[in-house]
Amino acid sequence: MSEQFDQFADRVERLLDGEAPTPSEGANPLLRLAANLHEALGAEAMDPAFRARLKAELLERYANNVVPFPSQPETAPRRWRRVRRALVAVSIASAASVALAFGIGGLRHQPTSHSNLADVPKLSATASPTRQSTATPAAPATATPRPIIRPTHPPVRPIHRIGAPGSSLTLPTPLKPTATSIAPTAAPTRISPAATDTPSVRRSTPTPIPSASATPVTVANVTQPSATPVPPTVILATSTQAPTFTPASATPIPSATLAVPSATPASATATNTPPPTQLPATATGIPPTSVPPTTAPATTTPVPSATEAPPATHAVAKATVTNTPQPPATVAPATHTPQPTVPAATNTSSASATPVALQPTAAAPTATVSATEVTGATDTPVAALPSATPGGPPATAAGTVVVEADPSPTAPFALPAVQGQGSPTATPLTLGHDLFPAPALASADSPISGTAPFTPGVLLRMVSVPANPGSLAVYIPSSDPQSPSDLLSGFGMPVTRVLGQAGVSKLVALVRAGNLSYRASLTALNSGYALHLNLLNPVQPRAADTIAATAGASASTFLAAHQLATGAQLTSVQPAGNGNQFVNFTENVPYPVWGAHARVTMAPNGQVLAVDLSWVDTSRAALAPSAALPDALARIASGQGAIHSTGALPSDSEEVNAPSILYVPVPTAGGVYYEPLYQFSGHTFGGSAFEVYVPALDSSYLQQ
Amino acid sequence: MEDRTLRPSPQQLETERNLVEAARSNPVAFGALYERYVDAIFAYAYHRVGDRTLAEDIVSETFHKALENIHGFEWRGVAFSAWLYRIASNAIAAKYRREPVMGDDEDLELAMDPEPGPEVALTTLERRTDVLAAVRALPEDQQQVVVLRFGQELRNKEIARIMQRSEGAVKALLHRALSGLHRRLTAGEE
Repeated sequence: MSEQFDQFADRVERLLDGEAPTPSEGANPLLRLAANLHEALGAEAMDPAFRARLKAELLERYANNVVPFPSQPETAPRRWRRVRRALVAVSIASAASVALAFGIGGLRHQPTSHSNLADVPKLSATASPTRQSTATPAAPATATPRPIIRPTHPPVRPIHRIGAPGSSLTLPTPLKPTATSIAPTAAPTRISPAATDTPSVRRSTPTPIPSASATPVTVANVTQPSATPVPPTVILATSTQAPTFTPASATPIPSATLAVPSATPASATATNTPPPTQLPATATGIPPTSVPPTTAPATTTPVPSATEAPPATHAVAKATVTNTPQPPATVAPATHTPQPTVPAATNTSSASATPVALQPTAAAPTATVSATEVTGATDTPVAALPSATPGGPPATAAGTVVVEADPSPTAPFALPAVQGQGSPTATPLTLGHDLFPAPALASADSPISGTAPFTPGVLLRMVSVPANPGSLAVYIPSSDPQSPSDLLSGFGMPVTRVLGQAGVSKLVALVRAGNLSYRASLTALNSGYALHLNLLNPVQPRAADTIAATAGASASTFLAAHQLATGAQLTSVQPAGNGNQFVNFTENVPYPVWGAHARVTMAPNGQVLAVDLSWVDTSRAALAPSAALPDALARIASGQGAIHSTGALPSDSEEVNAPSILYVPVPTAGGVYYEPLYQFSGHTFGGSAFEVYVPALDSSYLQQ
Repeated sequence: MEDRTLRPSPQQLETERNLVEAARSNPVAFGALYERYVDAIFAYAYHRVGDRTLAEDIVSETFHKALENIHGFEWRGVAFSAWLYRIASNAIAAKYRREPVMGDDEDLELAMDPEPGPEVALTTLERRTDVLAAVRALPEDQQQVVVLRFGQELRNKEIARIMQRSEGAVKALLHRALSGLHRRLTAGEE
């Protein structure tokens, strides 16, 4: 028999090698069939788009070096079945043994003196209850609920195909995905009309998910949102550099002079300053109204390094010195290292850190005193300390307005940011008095990071006073943040493959958005979320797929369809190269939220190539009584404001325009608050723009 | 007929070995391996399951598993494709266990050469449909050996390594498979 197989195998071998069959072999039906099979099982060309996408996905995964979740072993269902059967068998066996034991016990308890024959009826009569009693425990044993052991999800296919067997997604048409993704509002036909491809989405307002082409996905690095809390250690780190102020403070600084020579000692002083990222700039920040939120933090931290101290920085710093109505002793150190004046009012501790920073004590600190006090004050920020030391000459006070009024010790801006507030998860917030910390001036993410405390007693005159905005929401940290996978599902982007996780708040996964596959990196924040989407290997659109629609409309449609960036307001559209466009959004709920942003990269064909999103979840906003504008002005007059200037600081003769309100992140130990601020704006007579900020909340709600 | 042989020469084997070694740390090398074998794996999967979408799923699963386990791959002088075929076979077997695999007749229509006239095309299509349907009705091991032998033109020795059987067993399987196919097809004609 084996010879027959060998001979046949040899003939097949020759046939496949192209050798013509002999007449006798040609008559062999099996060999003819083999020839037919060779033709029938010819080469099959696969979809080149799929081929390319799969390769890109593989290489992407390889490059990421992300260990995927272990896929379900193929034998797992069998293994679970065996385990389940074993458990059932054990249950049955135990029940049977119990029943048997009781049965034997019942027999043992029979009176041995009885005659078997005579007591047959009696025996049966007594045995009945015994059997009943034994049957009772046996029955539950038999009926012991089997443990429900379900295997986990079957192995996820690396690339889901719409309409493929086993696919959890169902589309109206099983056709191959087109190259078109995003349906702009101008071309509604591009939007999948049915929400059937968002099976796991349970949103209150289901929105059709735009159809898109199935494309694998690339990586997007998660960047922390601009609202990332800045730990209070930033201030302390700044304060430890106090000794470096000494030569600077000893050096008289010309007032209102922008000359370069005066900047020289400043740069020398800045040699030992901490890294720029840890220091808020004194007065070099660009006003938030003129700078996009994403760029503002970088702009407002221009602390000069040892080797490169831009003259402009010094010039601005000197301008701050010149016009700040504070004593020179306070200002001089602040001139060379931007931190002193900025965090002074914000982070001064309530008890030991009396608001001396704002006192007009005209004395320059000595190096020893400054260093000692700075390092010793763990909770006391620094900037206040130099001014607390008497003895400095008022050398640089020219042109400033010196007032006698001290700030209120309970001034919100003179209060420290909340320390040890604890996790909001542990102690959920309830609205009440003294809950919300004052905005931290030192936060690099805050638009007022480059501010100085406003001079007490300088009452700016309002040009016009708008109506009171009413109660303002304070966006508090979420006490039970959602899991990233739930968030993605909520966005109508079911996870098809988990690529990696970091803790419970960050997830890197492949997700589907319509027919498109994206690499998603989602970080669930206590105040919102940060999401990055990247389309892998975008398919070049065919001419028919090109959507004649604006990028802004397409991006808005995409965000709305996935309920991303609720409250997004389109701000700008910029070219991004290769015909792509950046579509930028900000969050307005109903006032601008500082640090929240969305940028959607749109392809010319309307396909969403990437999404960079950092958003504040305002669904759990707490309400607190807002402060009326007269109260806000009164606070400014009492020195409880913070001023941000591009040049000279305003005097009491300046006027300010009507305020606007914006939300700024307030980092605390328990998370990031978003607190409303009045933002007054104006120009000095010299033409320098400035902003003045005060909390828009009733002061009784600000944490003491 | 185009050369679909995947029988590498010793030099090619050595090159492939270097490629596999490089693929452990170099994604470009893995990409080269992908390009080299993805079409063959797809054809194998398609002939087995008869559905393009499902075949693409299997291809994807095969290469993802290969990527996951390439660090544990040991070179034993056998073409890298043998390992891929084995992964694909396991994936197909798992699919069969999970859900019945149904052929997709539309694919046959798409694969048909549009050049011949309608009658010839219909005859060709019918014949090919019958043959493929008969192949997919074979037992799994016979189906596998037929597809590997006639679809991928692998030698019996290579098939034996993929199926982890002896070469004689493969020959026997092949003969039995063709006999079974012949019976099915002739019964269908009658």
